Amino acid sequence: MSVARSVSPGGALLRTSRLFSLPAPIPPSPTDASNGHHGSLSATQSFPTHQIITTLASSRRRGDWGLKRPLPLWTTTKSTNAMLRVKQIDTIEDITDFSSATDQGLTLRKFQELHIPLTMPAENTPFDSPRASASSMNLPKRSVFEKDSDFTTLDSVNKTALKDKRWRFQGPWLAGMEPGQFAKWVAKRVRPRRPEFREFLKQKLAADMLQSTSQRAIDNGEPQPELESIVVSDEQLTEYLRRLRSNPKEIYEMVGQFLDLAPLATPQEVENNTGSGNPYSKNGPPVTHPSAGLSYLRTSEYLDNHPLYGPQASHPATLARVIRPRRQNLQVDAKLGLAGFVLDAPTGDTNSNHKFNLRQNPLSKLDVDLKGGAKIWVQPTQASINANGRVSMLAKDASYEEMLIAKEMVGEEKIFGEKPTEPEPEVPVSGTRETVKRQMARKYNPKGSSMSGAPQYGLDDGAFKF
Amino acid sequence: MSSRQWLSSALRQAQTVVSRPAPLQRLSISTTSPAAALRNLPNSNSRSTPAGRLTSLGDGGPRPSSNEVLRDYMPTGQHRSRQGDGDRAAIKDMAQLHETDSYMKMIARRWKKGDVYAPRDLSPVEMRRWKLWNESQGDAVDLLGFNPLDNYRNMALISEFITPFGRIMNRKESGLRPVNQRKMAKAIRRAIALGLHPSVHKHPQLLLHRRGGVPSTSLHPSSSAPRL
Repeated sequence: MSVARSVSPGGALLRTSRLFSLPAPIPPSPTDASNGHHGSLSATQSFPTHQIITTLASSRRRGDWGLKRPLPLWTTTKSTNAMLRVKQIDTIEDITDFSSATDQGLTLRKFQELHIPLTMPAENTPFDSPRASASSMNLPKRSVFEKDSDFTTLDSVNKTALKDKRWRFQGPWLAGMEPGQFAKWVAKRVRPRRPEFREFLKQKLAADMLQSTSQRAIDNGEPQPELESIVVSDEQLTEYLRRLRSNPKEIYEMVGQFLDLAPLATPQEVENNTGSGNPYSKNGPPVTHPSAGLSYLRTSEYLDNHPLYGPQASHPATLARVIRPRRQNLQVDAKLGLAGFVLDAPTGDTNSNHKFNLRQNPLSKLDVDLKGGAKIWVQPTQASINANGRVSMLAKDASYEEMLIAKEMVGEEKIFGEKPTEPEPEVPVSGTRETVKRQMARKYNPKGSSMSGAPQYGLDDGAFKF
Repeated sequence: MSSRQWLSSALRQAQTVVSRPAPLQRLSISTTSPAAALRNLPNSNSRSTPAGRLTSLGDGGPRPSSNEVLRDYMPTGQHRSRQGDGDRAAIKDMAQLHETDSYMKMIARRWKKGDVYAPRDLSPVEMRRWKLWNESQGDAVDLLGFNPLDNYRNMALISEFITPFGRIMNRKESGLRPVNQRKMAKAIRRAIALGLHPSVHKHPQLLLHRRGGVPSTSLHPSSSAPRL
């Protein structure tokens, strides 16, 4: 700030602009720090906290990332994807502190390839409960960009009116505070504002009194009184305070309005699992916008078209990595990894849970001989952001037909004609799904000729979305 | 399910053989047929026989995988072929489950829903870091807002801040700031001096109810947080 003040106002504005400075890092997810005594500081965080920067290939070769000094070529030119996060532009040792950001950057790209919209989180189920995965599996949820839940700018009037709909609050969510934190917050933030709160109550009382006097004026046929004409005496205010104290609900309303507290669900609502006003009253408001900027899609209710088989009942199936198999004696459940996010394996009476599949089931055992690890075909159904900014995804098993079509798309299977029998040379398959598709298309269709006499479609154009 | 149980016990027995090679005749595991094959082990030390391979494991020879060892015990011959197919599959199954359990111990990270991973997060280097014991991140007393001196009778709390041999935990381990560390140490000394808490181990009531290395009794300090 002191540096900015020594230059002209225009210069200071330019210096602090996005053009010349990187945005300040945001605080990390609260759950990342609370792994207890076990955890890795170098593990990928559950959401990015720093801006990811990129550069053109020609500039990257020269080490030019638009920063103060060129970055070393040895560490920045090896990766396929030019993505860096700069922790500090200039350290005391005269170096730029940076690290690769492909972990978060590619996760975003992979997620966007799934083409699933972000929906409002489930209101009544806590994030980690098994119910969260099992309940309302197939029901389409409301998008976070619907008019009644997407509020980014608020003025003081609709701040109160939209209390039960908005997601951002100035004050904390009291149910998520530890006793020590609460005591500290009360001492530091709340107690100094006592006179301000008295003034706030005075205005509320004045508004109340205005209403009653204007009603009286209407009855008597007198002119309407102004708000400025109402004078609240100290005795009246003390009397009002006494009345409020005997009515906990009303005083909570007042305090909540004054401190802009995030709404709380009543104990009855939590116990009975019933919905109340604000969708975030049970699990706390989210630390980010409920979409977290991951995707801006409004809906997944569109039809996919297949070049040969026509409109499809479902979206193309996706491969999910089995991050951890299910072992009952170790009391661990199966976890899948989809587009870089960990999610629960499909539950219930599904393909991967059938008894006759148990022996070959990659969800129940670890096959160390399998190159690249076990993967299963799934159908991602919904994604939402929880209070801690983590992505909660749901996926169900892909049906046999969906799996077959998806496999045919990448050239592993052939539905009509002969199956590709000859052992193919091992091609290292890497990259995102689109690049894999492209590689496969090149491999199985080198001359670009049409497949099985069908009209000329590239494999990439398999899905026509409308 | 039951077949898996005896198979896993058979494998465990096979491992016992590895560590204690001398009296092979004493093996008697089960009456079912593949185990009966185990019982009729030839008492020989040559590496060509299955038992020989098992017994030679300890003396530095090339170690066959558990699959290989089990394959040697699979029934052979025409009269057993029909039953053998099922058994072979079951044994392979069992070996794989055993392998899964062993590898699962190396997956130190308890993956949670919503975690983000890059290929590096699945690497052994990263997994090793999840196994390490890190210093405590925050001050529990400040977070919960209680006075340790008021809680000298809270045995769950006192036991939480002493080592298994009854010494007051170091500041690095407890994660408390100096003021709270002094108060907590005083509370522990007070509890021991009053004869309320043993001085060389954690409270026996808590040791009784340990589940998986973690005391099942949770920490409930009496709060002295100011009320509004």
